[in-house]
Amino acid sequence: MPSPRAPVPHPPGSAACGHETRGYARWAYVLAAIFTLAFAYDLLRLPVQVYDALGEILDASRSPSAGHSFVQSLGTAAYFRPLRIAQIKALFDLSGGQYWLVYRGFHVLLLALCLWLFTRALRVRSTTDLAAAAVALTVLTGMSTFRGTVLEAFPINHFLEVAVAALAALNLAQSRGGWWVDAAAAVVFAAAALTLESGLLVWVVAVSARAAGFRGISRGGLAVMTGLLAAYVAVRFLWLQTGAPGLSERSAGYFLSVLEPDELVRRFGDWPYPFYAYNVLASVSSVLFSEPRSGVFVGVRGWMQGEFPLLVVLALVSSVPTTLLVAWMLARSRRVRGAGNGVDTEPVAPLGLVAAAVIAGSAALSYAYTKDDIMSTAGVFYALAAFESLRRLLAYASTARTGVAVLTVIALLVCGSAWAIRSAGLHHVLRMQAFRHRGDWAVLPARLAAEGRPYETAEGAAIVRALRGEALAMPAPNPGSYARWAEDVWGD
Amino acid sequence: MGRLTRRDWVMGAAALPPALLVVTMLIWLALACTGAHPLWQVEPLTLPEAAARRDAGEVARLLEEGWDPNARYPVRSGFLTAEAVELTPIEAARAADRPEIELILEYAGATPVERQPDAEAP
Repeated sequence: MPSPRAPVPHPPGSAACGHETRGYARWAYVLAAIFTLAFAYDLLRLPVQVYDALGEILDASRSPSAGHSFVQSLGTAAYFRPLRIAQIKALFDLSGGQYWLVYRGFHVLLLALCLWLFTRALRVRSTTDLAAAAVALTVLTGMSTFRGTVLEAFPINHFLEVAVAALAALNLAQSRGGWWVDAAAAVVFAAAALTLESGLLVWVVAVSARAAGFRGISRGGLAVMTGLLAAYVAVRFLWLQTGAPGLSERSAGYFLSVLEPDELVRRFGDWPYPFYAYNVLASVSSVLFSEPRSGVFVGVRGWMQGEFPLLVVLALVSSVPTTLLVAWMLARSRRVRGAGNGVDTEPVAPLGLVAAAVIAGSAALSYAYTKDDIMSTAGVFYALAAFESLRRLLAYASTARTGVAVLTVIALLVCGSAWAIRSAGLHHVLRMQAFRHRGDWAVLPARLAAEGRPYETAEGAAIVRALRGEALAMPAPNPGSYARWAEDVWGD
Repeated sequence: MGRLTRRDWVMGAAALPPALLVVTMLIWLALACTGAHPLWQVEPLTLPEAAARRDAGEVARLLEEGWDPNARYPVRSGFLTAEAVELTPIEAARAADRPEIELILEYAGATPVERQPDAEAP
């Protein structure tokens, strides 16, 4: 039975639906395509990485099938990610020896999907929307959390997969609904949850989107998704008794430094809750203010050491005003809703509300350790909230007093430029990453020989040779040839 | 042409930074079609130059291309010293303090610096 067909909430002042508005949407897709092509070019110059990827590929080569990989990974101690391993195996089988092409090609495909779904979720219908969409794409790709979706792949970037799944859920929620929408939402949730713990955010998106006024996924659909969530919890924690990551799993950022597992256990082993609370708050802050980075307050540390890198200045100049703008819009949204003036069922900031839920959910999932990558989906939704806020600001400033308009113009130019510089910096960081990956492959055989670790099988040796050959054949610019200012402005 | 309205100024201010970024990316992509993407320009290096610049990937590639890990090759000025010099790759790696490059070179058959009778690490 089709779900109720509620109109998609859209703030007042936007152009009405119609063929004349589709032109703006088309231009937004053109912008998204340019961003995609520019990053795809960089991604296609990146070799498959050695660390956290080669081991997975060799495991895939030893597995008889994707199904076998799925079942085998059910028994791991701290993680429940069976579809992640199965996907790696499926792509391995598909590759026919062209490992780089398949894994990196899949990465580009995911990136294209992410930017397409992001742009689609914006529902661009006017020149105001188009201007805000252009800024939103810059915010999305300029955020430090977005780096995690392109810089690494294991050999698939599962953080990007989760971001795509969350955006797919939002698009489904924005649709007119129907049984297939509910079915697709359930499938997307199941696939994301079985790939990575962050996949549970798809449920958060679906629930918060409905609360915010997007009615594409029906109550029945949400009930099915909630049932799947309950099944996930039961299977993971009761049946398989898969635990959660402990303090000894990995090092983690804490205020101004990175603590090694031994140190974490020593300081928080008896009472880990302050550390968990720090991780949750640090994760939220990393999205809203671009600080800390993976738990470490890099800017504060630099300032205490007597230096304040341009990189940090750019992050603050771009993030702080944007977050203030989003907060202003959400506060205004609450006020309008609370006024009881008939718009209670159509909040003025639906994307902002969904973003708030996703950021809170992502932060909660990061309780064990905070990492920019884990917050990448939250970053995507932050950019959606920025779009919504900016659209409202543009409409407001266009009719405001001269002083307000002038201040808005200056703020837009400064803040927008900072986001654009950050977004451009991702291209620089990607070329640096290409250099690193290539170097890792170059030294691998010598390192294994020095450590007395021969390849386990002839097939494994052949895979390493093929991947290494692919990596060495991809020239990467040497950091010694970069302009000096590049690292100051864009980091590494 | 009429005067710019307040709305034009606001929209223009919002759109200008991303528009400049998009134009930049289009230029990069156009240049990439001719192999001249400004961020992906690769400078040709000799084997010891690659070693001096800790470019493990390029060292490994040149070795696979057949460069002799024990031969002396020119190193341009500015890489290690103010003047151009001739060095073996492993001397250059030692001078640049790059043990992982030395590891690659020794794995490829280079004589370690310690065993070179006439070693002249700058």
